[in-house]
Amino acid sequence: MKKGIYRFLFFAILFICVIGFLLKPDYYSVNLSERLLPPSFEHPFGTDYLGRELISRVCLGGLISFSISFIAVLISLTVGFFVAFFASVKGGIVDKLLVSLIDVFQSFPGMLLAIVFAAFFKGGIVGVVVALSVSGWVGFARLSRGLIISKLKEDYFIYSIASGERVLKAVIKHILPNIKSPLLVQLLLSFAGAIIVEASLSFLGIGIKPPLPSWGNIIADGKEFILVAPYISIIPGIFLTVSVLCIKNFLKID
Amino acid sequence: MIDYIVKRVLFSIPTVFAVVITVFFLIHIAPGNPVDILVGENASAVLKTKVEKEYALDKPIIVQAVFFLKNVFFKGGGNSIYFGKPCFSVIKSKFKNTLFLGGVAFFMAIFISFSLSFIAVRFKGRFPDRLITFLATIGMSVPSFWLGILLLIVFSVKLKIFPVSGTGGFYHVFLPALTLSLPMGSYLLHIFRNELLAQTNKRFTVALKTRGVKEFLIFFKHIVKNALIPVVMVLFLQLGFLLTGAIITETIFSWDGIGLLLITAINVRDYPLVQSLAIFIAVVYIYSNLLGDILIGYLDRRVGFEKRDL
Repeated sequence: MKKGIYRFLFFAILFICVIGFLLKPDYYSVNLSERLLPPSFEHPFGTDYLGRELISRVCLGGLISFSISFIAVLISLTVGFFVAFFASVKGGIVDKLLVSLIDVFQSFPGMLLAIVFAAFFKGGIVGVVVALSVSGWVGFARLSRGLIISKLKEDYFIYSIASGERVLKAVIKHILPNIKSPLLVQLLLSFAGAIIVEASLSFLGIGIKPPLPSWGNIIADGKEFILVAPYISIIPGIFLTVSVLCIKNFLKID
Repeated sequence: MIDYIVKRVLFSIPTVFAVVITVFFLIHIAPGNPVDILVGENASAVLKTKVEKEYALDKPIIVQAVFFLKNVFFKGGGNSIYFGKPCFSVIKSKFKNTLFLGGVAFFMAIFISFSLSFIAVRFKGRFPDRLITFLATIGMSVPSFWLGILLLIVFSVKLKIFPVSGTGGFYHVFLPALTLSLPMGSYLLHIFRNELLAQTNKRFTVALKTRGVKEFLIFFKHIVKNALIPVVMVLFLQLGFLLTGAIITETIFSWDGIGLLLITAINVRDYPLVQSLAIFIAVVYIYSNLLGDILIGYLDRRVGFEKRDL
């Protein structure tokens, strides 16, 4: 493997999504005379069962997947970090309560939690973000609680508290820089996981609602036509798999 | 050891309660009136009041919670709106299908990962090893619903070996089980391969070699045995993955298990059934993890039961 191939591939996919969408921004208009056309020069990824341009749907779907998952991961990180902050700094009964809250959320499999929340929030962009954040914050909370506790006894932290800094500011200013690399790894893994969960929710019909495209619902559309047009579900799947692979191995240089 | 098991089981009871309460609050967190969520906004006023009575939604929230707990623990989860039967009896009738699918997938994952990692270790650093590791790396990232569709295209549409969907015997279970087992198998393969290689470099292997023990005997009798411990650990912690993976796999292949039931319940807005399924899956998940922990403790005697934290 060449150096940084995963980063390169990830940015390549992002680039393709942006360029592809800018070239053919019309993901919406139905053209029934051009249904289910296989990939050709005129229609680079072919057309779907309503004659919509597949390339613009796949590219926009990618941008939607990336941004929704990223927003959800950022929310999870913030919520998880603050829960961990209160648990570790307050200690005692607050810590016990928050830890058992984390335990309860961890006793649901993440995907189940996401599916049930998405179902109760009736899907849509907001529903997906809520579902992903609800299933995602636990990992960050558990990880950062352990990390913050391990740094609370460090000299530099005690000095900064003794010199009158507020606890939250001291944690963000002095502890956060010291624990950022495990958090970054967790951020990337959650990002990859969130993309998969988002796609699964959309595939099951409780995520991004059509006509807005998402890799998940394009694949679900394609499933009805695997006999005549297997490319409809194959192409977004390749994008999905490669981007998940690249995000997971983003930090791997060798 | 008995102490440890009893303690673990006792400590799991509050967790189960908390899970049930969390699921109860779901319907109140969700936007909209609970009654509207349960029967839909356009339902008749008569139906609305009937449902309101049936689920005690007109009472204060504490009473509702107690009512919900009673429903879950004594009345089989309350009546499903769609099936008209107690939810847990519906779930019970479907669960054996999921169990069958999960079991086959479990053994398939073991078979795939073990045989391929033996090959990978045998040809360490050469082409077969690199190919297998590469495929396993991809296998861990492939979303299972897409993998299922790919397998459908290859095996059912092009080669016409296996049926496209349905519930039944070996021919029906093969594709869904393969879909379910490939991601798990790739993960296991990575761990097993690395563990086998780590054991090969240990000093006891060299000592056995100098005594003239045959190569394959060293491998299968000593190295594999030592490498198994972390693999079994991961295997049991992955049981939950089989459950959630089943939700998607069953939907693709119309396999009549609890995963398909969950999606059906969501689509027909049968929320009491969704809640019961969430509770059921979470409880199965909690206890399969517990079983895994106990089994690991039994296998790995280096860690005493007394010193393990709960």
